[in-house]
Amino acid sequence: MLVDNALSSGSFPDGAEASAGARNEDLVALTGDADMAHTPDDPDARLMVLAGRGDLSAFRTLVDKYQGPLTNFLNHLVLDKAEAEDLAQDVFLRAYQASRRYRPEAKFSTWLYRIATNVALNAFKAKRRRPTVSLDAMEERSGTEPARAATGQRPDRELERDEIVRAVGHALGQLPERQRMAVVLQRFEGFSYEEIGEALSVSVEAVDSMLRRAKAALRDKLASYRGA
Amino acid sequence: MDCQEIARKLSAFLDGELPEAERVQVRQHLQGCARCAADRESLAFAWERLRELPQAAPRTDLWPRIEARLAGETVAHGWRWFPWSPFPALAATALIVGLLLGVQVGELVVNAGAAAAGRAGQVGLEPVDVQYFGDVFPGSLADAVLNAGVETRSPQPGRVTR
Repeated sequence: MLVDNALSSGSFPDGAEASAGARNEDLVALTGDADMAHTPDDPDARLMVLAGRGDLSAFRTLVDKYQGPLTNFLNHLVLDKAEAEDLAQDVFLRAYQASRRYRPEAKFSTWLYRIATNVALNAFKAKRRRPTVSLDAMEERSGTEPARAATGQRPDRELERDEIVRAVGHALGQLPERQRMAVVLQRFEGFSYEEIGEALSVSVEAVDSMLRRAKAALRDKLASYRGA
Repeated sequence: MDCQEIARKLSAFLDGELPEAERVQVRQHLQGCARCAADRESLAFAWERLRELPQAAPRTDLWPRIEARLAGETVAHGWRWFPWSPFPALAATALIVGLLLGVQVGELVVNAGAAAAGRAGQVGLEPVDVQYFGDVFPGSLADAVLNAGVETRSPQPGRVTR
């Protein structure tokens, strides 16, 4: 709890202002681990190191912070909210399992989403072996495009916006899995191309290529909605 | 840069991933080329619509389920939850080794017991008929019984019947 307060407030109980260097020294003293002296200025990475030493409250802090974005990320991939929650739980359990080996060489979020992409890819593989699709996913992935308003009727702005949102969601669901992952990481998680490459274990050039193709595909799917 | 190069760089340009010098070149080209500018607009239209997709937060807090799984695994195994732990494999190996050792020890016990009984003048020793299904393998417990001098009724070597 002492360390949690220090990490979240950015200051130590004695009132001293915390700099990144001072925090690392304190963590080295607390954990007895020289690695902590070289942790990047990433509070989440420090929490994960503490979790690796059995600090469950540190791990809980990370779960609280990332369960929303992670579930959202997985939901965009598997198109099933319940499954996304199960997969998110799986991601956190795997992260805890790996916590003893965790070394803060990169941002914690990149490391966590690398686990998430592997979990999602495994889920895709399992689905290909046992093709059962949820009702939500069926609606998203149906071969029919979302219906447009009849010619001559001018939909009001709200209906039009909903229609476009449904269309773009449908188009996203039709992208190949890795392209979809790259899109979601860039658009919703704000990952750089380099971070996406680390999460997907591909080069920056490959990320650029994936996102270029994804943008072109989305543009083609939404062409009829432009200027509506 | 020509239009073909610009087309290849538009995606990274929209994502803010181009180095500063290239970003300036693309911007200048777009200001002077209507076709590339229209291309940029159509890409940006679809790309920006993604942000309007509803966000899916978990319906309930995931922590209680995660904590329960971690606690359950720790209690069951007595160590940190680690699905790839070598301990189950080591335990299985120890069990197999134990069984093999037990057989060997049993063989020694039977031999010793039979020898002792023989020295005691066959007191209480009756021919043993044991029916089983299969050959007697050298070194097995059944083999040890047969070789311990226990009288059998079967005329077939290596087999005893009840």
